[in-house]
Amino acid sequence: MPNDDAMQFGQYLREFLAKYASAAPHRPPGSGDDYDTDLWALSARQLGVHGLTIAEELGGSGDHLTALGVCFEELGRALVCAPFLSAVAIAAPMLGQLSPESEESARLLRRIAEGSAIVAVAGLSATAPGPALVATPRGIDGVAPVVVDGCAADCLLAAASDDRGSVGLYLVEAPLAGVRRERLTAFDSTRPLARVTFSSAPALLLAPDARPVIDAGLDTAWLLLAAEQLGGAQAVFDMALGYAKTRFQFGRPIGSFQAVKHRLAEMLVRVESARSVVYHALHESEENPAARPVEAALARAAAAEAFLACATDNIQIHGGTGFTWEHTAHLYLKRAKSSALLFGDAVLARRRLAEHLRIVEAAP
Amino acid sequence: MTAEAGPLSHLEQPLARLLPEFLRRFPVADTPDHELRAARFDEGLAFVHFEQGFGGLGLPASAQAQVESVFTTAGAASWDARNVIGLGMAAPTIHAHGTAQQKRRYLKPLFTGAEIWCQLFSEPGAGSDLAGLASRAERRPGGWVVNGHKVWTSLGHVARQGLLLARTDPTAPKHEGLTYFLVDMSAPGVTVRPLRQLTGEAEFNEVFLDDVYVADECVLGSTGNGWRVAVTTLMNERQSLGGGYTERGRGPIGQAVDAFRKAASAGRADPAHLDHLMRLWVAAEAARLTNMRATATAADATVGPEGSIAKLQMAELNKSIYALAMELIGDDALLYASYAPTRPDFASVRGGSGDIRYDYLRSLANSIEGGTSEILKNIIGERVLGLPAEPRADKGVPWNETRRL
Repeated sequence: MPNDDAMQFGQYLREFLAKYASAAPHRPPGSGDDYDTDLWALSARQLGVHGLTIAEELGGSGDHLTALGVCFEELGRALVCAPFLSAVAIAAPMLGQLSPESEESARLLRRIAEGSAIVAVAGLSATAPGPALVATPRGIDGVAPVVVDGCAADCLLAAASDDRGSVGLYLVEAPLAGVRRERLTAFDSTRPLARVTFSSAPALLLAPDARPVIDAGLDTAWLLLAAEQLGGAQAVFDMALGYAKTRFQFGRPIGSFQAVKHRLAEMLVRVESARSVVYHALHESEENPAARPVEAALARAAAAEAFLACATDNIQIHGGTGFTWEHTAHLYLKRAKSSALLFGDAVLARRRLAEHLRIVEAAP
Repeated sequence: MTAEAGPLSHLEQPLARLLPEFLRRFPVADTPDHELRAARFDEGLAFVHFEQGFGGLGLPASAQAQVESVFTTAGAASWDARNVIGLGMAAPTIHAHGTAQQKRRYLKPLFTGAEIWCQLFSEPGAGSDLAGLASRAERRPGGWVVNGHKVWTSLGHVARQGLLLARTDPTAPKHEGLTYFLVDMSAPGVTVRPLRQLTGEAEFNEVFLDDVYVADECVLGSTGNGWRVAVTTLMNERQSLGGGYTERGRGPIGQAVDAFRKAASAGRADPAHLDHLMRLWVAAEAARLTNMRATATAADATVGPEGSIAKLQMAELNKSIYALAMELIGDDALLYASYAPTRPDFASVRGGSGDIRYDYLRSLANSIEGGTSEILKNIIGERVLGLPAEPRADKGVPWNETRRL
């Protein structure tokens, strides 16, 4: 279990998001901004979410991964549309690994902590054998077909391979010369996606031979995404339970029928199981970094499926209402489905788990 | 909340002091088991969450698992399978509802293993609807005379004591006319017969009660209050059936992993088997961690409806795990060790016999015994989630006017 401080902060964030949402519903943007800019700024400056695990000397609060996990749980519960996953869950932990040696990384972390930089990550894939981007003496070349928060970003971290086949981590900064960004119609409209084309884009090499940094970064991304999915699962479960108590058919609340009651009991088991795994995985990863790959794969596998199953059941329990555009049920379903496929799906997570546990040999 | 670490390394006070001291005075290797357990009871290290003087120290329920782990690691014998109903259900029920005299009489021989317990609850006409049971207890001077027929009585053939639920007022609505008794299984009129199961063995029994006399001091709780007492037993039953492995990868899922490895080395494993196995591995680990979280947050010795979550998960998981394991053992799955009738003197609820064919068949009872999965989902829905109950045809109706069978 997260400690009392983390739980209290989570509770505070939950109340803040609930209050904020009622004033300015953070629905998917139909037009204009790619994300909720007010919420983004408030979270960085007033709440300090962005810098939670960033070192204190870089303007963060140097807290545990579990504390950030509890925040992601709340962001997932409220279906917040802002670039937390890119900048805070993926970029910041990778930069954190580099910052002791890299002044550029430290500088960028400082900006992330204060909320003045949105960093998106291009060229990351848990499934493809290597990045699709290449680094040449002229800069970065190639296409990153799907980049989370690619349009909102004011700088990009790019994983690119050089002519020796070594994968490095590069920083492309404003004004993003040689970079073309196209906004895509995302399946999950609360998580904006872009196609990013690099044409000899000038870039700064942050880390050569960055495969270990990228792999550890993906593990952290899986952990925090799992926490976000846990929050989403809890939200749709609460929604379904509330509806089953107040929706009457045949003169009774529908939750009194076993067919509905049993589905809700199964949802509770899924949510509580995911919660146990996610909290345990965050804690163990903090205590014992060597355990992180196992814990990340476990959390990924458990939370992705729990959220998707609950989001699907939530629509079923809401019946025709749950299928409408006006109801939020579909937003959670789309978030659940696309999050389950982002950075490698649960099948991959289970395969990784089997390899880490030495149930099978790792693929060459 | 990691139970993987060394058992003595992070004990709560006062256990960190008491346990090493106890093990110095009573070295496990040199102390006969019966004496060791008697000493544990006297020192409050039997059920540490029970009151002082009754085998406990008044510690949080979560401390009990630590104590068990210390004794297991030290090489002490386990009585969990031999006296599963005594330790898992009778003890907490007697501790919660018994008089001081009853606690003194029953708890110590229960803990030492001198008295094995069984449960006389289910009847041919009362399974999921346990409160509709028909065994009848009628008033006699100084006690009661019981007549009835009980089934699914694990360990009935070796038990010295039984937990009996019987009807004392047939004119009251079903839940209100029940009384809870502690019955001497050697009393005249108690007949235990093997009840053979689909595994071939007779792990269970049926018990006939013909004019069995039970004295007043063997009533647990008060007359007519039996359902409330029985709920304590049932919740503890679910907790103990659902409780399980403190180590990652142990238990049924460990057997399935072994079976997969053997199948893989024999060239019989398919990638689909691996994904199925890992899906179950994740679910088993989630269930284990949820159990640990529930135990860690349990503040006192009482067990709530949350135990139903653990039991539901365990039952459905075991069935799925052993069904997969059968697919992994090749032609062996077409054979069976022996269907010869036997009467084991231990209860192997969680499988783990080492024979996957037997464990697979035995797992089919997991979602029936101690509350079917359907009943458990009702309990979770109504007691945990606060959903309204289904309308009941027998609600408020005197039991002898309800339709049964």
